[in-house]
Amino acid sequence: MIAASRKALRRSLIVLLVLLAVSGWTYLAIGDRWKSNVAFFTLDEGDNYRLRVTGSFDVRCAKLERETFSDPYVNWREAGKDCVWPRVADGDGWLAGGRVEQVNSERLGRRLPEVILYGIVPAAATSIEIILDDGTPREAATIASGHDDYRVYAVYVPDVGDRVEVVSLRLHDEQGGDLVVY
Amino acid sequence: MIWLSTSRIRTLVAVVVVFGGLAVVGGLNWEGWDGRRPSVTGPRLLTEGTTGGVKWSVVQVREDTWGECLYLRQDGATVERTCTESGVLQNYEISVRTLRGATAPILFGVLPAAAARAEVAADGGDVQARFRKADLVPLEVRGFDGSGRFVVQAAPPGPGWAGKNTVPVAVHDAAGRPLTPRDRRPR
Repeated sequence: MIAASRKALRRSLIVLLVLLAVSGWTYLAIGDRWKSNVAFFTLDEGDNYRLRVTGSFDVRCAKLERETFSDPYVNWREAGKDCVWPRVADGDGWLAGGRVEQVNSERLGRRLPEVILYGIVPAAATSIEIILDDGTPREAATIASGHDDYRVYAVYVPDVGDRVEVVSLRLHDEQGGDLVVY
Repeated sequence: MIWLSTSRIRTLVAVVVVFGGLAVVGGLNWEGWDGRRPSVTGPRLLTEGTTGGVKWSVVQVREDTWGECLYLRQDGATVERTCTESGVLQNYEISVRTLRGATAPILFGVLPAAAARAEVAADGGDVQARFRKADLVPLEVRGFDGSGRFVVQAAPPGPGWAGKNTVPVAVHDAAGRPLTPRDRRPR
């Protein structure tokens, strides 16, 4: 009786280990399909993009990923990331970051004249005003990141050209006041 | 150790290899590493001011590839970045930038560590005595990071600055000796 139960226990353990190994391998291979995101862009001509929050402990990043079909082992490829803005010593605010990603089209085989602006901002910033080199101010609400200290933003801007540069980035708090950024 | 028969050892090795491999691959791909090695660290505000009606600031940062660098910033964006002094032939050079919305250009650049005095021509032209067409205007030489020297201030008034990206600057050490980029070359 004891021998039979030991055998059953051993078999169960082996089955459990095999299941664990298979699920671990499956997650590493194709798990990025199901990772949660805070923003998703389905574009007419461009590839799909999604914004995710990564990092650990007190460090977080806004990671922009592009869906790709050219690689059978990678479904979502990192397009770039913007990590927590450092506070400026002897100052009264943050060193502003933020990223600009030119939209890619795998189907057309080229980059398009449209961009996604994204980044991670201090939690006090409920909206962000971005001016590109075309001079047009664009205001966007920030999104909760899942971490108390940070929020993130992602803005799709069509028809802005191939070489886009951010010339001004301002953060606004809940009352509409400016947060200091350098 | 008697209980470790050959088949058990094989099983144990297989389990260690499979799960160890998964742990290594998973660990290397772990997104929790993101942001642990920022490319820019330790920003420090060196100075800020207003030129031509527009506010600017100079921030010193440490870049992981270039070391200590200075950023001229306006409204959360970098207008100009410099990590070392630059020069052509006999002259050091500094940048000329017109900030967005400003009515006057601003001069910005790193100078050699020995710099004690710096001057530009009032028209933004050559500073060598034999080629100079305008008087020299003194610039305020500021320090950073112990031995570093830099300049940031409004360009002297005049039409000569329009369209210029860089201007030559005459640099002297504390003893009044002129410094040139050639002084840095190994002999």
